[in-house]
Amino acid sequence: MDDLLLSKIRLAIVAELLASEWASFSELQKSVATTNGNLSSHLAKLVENRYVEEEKSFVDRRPHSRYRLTSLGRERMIAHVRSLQSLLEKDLQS
Amino acid sequence: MIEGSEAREHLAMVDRIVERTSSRLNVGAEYFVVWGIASATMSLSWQLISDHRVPFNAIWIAWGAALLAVAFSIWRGRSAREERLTFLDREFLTVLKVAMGVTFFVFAIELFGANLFGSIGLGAIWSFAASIVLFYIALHGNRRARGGGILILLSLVVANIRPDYAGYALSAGMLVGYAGFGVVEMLAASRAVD
Repeated sequence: MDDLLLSKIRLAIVAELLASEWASFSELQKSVATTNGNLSSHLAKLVENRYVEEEKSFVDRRPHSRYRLTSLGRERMIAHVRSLQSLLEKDLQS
Repeated sequence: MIEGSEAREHLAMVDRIVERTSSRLNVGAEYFVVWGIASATMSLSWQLISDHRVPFNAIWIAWGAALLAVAFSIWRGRSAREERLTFLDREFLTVLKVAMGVTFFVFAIELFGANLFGSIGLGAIWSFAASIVLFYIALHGNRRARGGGILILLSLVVANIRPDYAGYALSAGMLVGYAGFGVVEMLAASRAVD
């Protein structure tokens, strides 16, 4: 089980990025439905652990951040989902 | 550590998100609306000119629609950077570029006097290319795209059976099958976010 992905919000962020090349901060905020500050702190943890890559730029003179899943993040997500599935299987057997 | 019930909840959430993001167009939906309306306008203009219902000068409406669609594509391509690009978006844009490239290549050949297809033939080729784009998206589990592709193919069948009404048929096919698909896709995207 991946400790970083035990948080439901971080899990949702990584799941949102799984099928995307990249997503902007505002898009993630709309999808994950959380506050600016909360999303920022969860994203910071994912970036710090190199699960997610952050790209900062200016679009029409406004600061803009977009995020993409790294290969490490993808591997950890797959492993985490497998762990969840096996936990569920064990739970059903017992 | 988490409990089994929590694991189930987390897995269900991941399933929901992946299903939503992997079969949904984020950037592409607007292209369908704009190109669907532009293509329908072009086919309709051609038909109305052929039927002598409007003067030949109306051809400029068709050219204007095409130019507006190209201008929109360039502008949208730049502003898309602000949002999200799914893998399906990227693949769709690639297939769209190939389809447009092939159509414009045929169009250029026609301009140099090859006269292989005639005006409505070009419209039919574009409709056929559009249906390929939709069926490609349908392969990723998008049933709405399959519906749109079938509607366009039906318009091609009608155009073939009634060549005197070909422009109307192709126009209706692009409007309902292509632009309609774009509208439905945009509505689905806004509902998913709500």
